[in-house]
Amino acid sequence: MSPVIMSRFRLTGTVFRHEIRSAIRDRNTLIYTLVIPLFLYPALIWGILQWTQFQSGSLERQQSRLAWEGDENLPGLAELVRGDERLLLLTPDDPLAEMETGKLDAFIRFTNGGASPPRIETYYDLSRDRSTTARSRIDEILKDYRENEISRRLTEYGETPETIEVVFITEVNVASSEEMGRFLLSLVLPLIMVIMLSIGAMHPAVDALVGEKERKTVESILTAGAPRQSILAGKFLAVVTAAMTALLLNLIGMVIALTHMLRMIEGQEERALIHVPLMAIPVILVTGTLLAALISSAMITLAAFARTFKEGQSYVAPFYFLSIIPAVFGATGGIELTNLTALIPITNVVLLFRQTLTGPLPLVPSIIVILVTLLSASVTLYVAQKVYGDEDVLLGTGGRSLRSLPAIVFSRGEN
Amino acid sequence: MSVMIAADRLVKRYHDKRRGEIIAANQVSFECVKGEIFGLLGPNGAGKTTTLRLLSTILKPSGGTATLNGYDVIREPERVRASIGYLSGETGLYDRLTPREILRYFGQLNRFPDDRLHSRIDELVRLFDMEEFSDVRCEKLSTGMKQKVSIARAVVHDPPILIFDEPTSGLDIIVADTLLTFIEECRSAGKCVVFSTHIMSEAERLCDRIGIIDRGEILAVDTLDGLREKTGERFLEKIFRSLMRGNPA
Repeated sequence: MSPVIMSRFRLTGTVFRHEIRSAIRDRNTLIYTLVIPLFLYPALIWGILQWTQFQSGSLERQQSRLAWEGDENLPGLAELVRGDERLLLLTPDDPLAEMETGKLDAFIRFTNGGASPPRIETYYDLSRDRSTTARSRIDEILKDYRENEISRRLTEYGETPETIEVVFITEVNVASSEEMGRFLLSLVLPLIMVIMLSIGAMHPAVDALVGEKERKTVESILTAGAPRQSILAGKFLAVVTAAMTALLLNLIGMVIALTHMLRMIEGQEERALIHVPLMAIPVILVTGTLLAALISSAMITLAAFARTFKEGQSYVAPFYFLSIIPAVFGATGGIELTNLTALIPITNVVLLFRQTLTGPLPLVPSIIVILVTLLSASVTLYVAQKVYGDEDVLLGTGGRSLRSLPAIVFSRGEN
Repeated sequence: MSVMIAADRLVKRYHDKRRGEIIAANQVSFECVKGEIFGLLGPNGAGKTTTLRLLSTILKPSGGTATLNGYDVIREPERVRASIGYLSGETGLYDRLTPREILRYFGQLNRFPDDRLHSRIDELVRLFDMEEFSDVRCEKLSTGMKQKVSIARAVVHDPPILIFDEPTSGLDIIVADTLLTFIEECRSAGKCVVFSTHIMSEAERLCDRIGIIDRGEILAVDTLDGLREKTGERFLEKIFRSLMRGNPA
């Protein structure tokens, strides 16, 4: 390698180290790059689960207030209801009105008097948890009563319940605990990883040039004896590093959170087999880095036109939301990684992430994903380099705005 | 005397949506030699900053060229930048870094030899009396301390040419005097200094030769005595006004 190129690499490394040091000392960058990816989503999942469990526990402890109307003609049912401590039988004048005011949770009406078999209507309010709980308790009692009564009548005729069954159905889940865990990961992880990557890149990308403008250090850096490409490269690598750090920390955080979630749901530690397959790690690293390069260079380019940090954030935020749309598209069930979907930037990476978590990777689409992301990242990096060569953008002079972008990109030579 | 800076008909045009084409520097030519302080004197908006930005390669000329330390600003901008130290009155610092870290960063960016960088930083810390705060983050420093760090940052790589754009603007008298004294020391050390100001007393104190600039054009370049002779005025303010009258809008 020639000394000139070596020297440029060294300068890039110098800028990179400087940017990373500054980022580590910046509270906002730490929050967006480390704290949110590692703790926010896991904490959110954990919090929601805890709250749900608390809510369901609280509902379980409450009695369901119930009323019924009409001639039941079903011996033993009233005793079953009265004998259930979870139910409280009331006798309101207008049960439906009481349900509307929330004083009654469910209401059973026998609609055809003494006819056989009797018809039962169960009234409940789906918009209230307490009423839904009451319904499920009534269903449980009615189902038990029905099964016991059928069994009793069949016995009277000298038959067994098996006589009336056409077929016995047993369902067997052939997916291993590990496969189930991977499927669960593939549902949520790829989308959140792309979001995290964008969040991780956003703050350092805005800071890359706008920070220099706001601190009034832009002239110092422009008059330093380093080529502007090396300065941009160092800043770009720092943004990519921040984005990848956010992605990987989020991956760790999510795996821990999902494992905990499964344990809480199933109550069986041996079923909680959430882990990222070893083969997925290099795929996530390579495609994640390429996607980070694409998003980082796009954000650096957009933010460069701003004069203040706030303005920079307002330029980058729409891109962030736009980048989520193809990611959401990729996370939608039913869309698979094919040669065609592999051509859609961002969507293709989400699909590849999903595929790498759930099963074997299709070779050709995977290669297409890598090439398309590499090409997209190269184009956006080229645009960033053109923008960083424009003195009006760098100094915030000449009324340069995002509308000037095409003129800058298609200008000849270094601006 | 070796010529360190040679500006040759430098032109900078801007396009403004409202005002159309603006010529911020128009055929600006002057030379500056080793061990000389060259003052660029003019009112606000005269083109001083544009001229200095052209020399320091922050801006690319629309016409003409300049050579600094033998390097062309258009063809060899990196070499030009390695030969200069640039400081303006508005230059800021990285708040999250300490003075030593800033000096190291700019020393490395300017490719100052690694094995000498540490001792060079120590030397500057002593020179600018920064021992007490050299390891304190810049966000906690006073304006005067920050200006010392800025000057040290500009000269950390020991460049042969120094470009100062209104460096005393916003400084109190004591800090400004420290800076002016340093500029005088630079001349003694054989540096070539270009110094822009609109403060006449600073120009009178420091400059070996003065270039009067107005509306992007150099009206005259001479020693203070030469300018006095040319205009028949004694004080720089009067000389300046006299030259301005001869260059009506």
